[in-house]
Amino acid sequence: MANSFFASTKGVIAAGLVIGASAAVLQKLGNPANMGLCVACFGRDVSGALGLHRAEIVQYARPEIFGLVLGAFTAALCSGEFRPRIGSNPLIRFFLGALVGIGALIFLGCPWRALLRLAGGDLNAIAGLLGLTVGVGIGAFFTRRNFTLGSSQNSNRILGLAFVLFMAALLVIRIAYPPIEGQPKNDLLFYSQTGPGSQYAPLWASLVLALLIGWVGQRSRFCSIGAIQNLFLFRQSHLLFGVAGFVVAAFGLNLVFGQFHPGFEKQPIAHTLQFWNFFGLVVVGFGSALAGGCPGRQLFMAGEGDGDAGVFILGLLLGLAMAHNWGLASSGAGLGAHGAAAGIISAVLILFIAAVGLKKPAAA
Amino acid sequence: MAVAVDARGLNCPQPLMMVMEAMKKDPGPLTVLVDSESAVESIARNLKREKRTLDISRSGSDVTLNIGPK
Repeated sequence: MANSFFASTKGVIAAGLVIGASAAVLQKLGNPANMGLCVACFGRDVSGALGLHRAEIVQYARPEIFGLVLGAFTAALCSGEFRPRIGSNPLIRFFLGALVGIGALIFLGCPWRALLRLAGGDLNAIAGLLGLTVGVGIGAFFTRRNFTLGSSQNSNRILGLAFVLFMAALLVIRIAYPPIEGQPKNDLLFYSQTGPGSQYAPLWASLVLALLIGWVGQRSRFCSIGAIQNLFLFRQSHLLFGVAGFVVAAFGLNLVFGQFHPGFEKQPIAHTLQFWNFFGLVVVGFGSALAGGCPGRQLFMAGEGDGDAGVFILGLLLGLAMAHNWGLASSGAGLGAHGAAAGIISAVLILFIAAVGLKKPAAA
Repeated sequence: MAVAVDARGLNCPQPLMMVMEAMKKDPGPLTVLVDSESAVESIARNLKREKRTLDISRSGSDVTLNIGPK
């Protein structure tokens, strides 16, 4: 039970350093530029590998996604914190996950990637991080007015393993069905031949680092949304120190590896439409705040047995797939055909959820 | 002592939010029920700043926090 080190400020900084350094190393080992680690991008690649979307350049069953959950699961199990629970409005969490996914692909990255883009010199990330801050701020406004999705209940200990086992199964499939040279698909999985989906670190490196990240993430409660939210709500900077560690480690290693290229133009897997960089992450910040954590933190919580977080991730995977199927996702060339409409509709829907989720006064 | 705040099953940051509000309303002792270690840690972290004492007892997945008066 004792968690004194990772609960301390030093601990969360250490966790941030480990996660940020791992991301830079994963990029060095083959992951796409400024995308050593990205829950939205990698979730989208996983969706593509499963054939849920047919954007041929972004299909790869990223071991990082599975490893993050399995690492958090192992940490939770070892610390006695694995506790299956569900029931805090899972359906709404599913849709929040989907909407967050759509917002993330308008910006082109989850909050972690926004930080990694900044650490790699992509100055377009600044607009995104401002948007994230505003989005979390709007979420905090509703939290302060008692927004809630309700309480979860403890659930069956074996059935509570469902999401972790699902991730383990996808990992086993990834290992058992490796890419075939020159083939876009093996028996089960799609593999990009070009583009970001074709750029990946060796399987075992991805897996080992993801397990490590999952472990320290679970122990430290590392969360980019929580970092901003706690500042707004409680004037508390604990988690923000972790985020600072994340950026410092990634930035430092990017310099060492020659992965730092400052500027706005021609940044990898990024566009320069600053309003939409901003707005995409408003959606992500707002939606994630209502769901109680950034997409990465949702993976950690899913590993702890939080079924609602698992449902959020399933929604995220669907939203990311639909973002490509319907032309909502941005690319280096700019917005998708329906990106602007999707961004606005996503924001309106999250606002609706926030407004109707305000706790009613207790009945007499 | 009666439980004043039952924040079991609620996601971050609601447990801490409820505790802070309850402490604002009443400077006296407060009993809080939570069921996640992250909630325990975040509440403990804020109590340090409030200079209030904290006594933690566990029973199954329930954690009872007895917070001292201001």
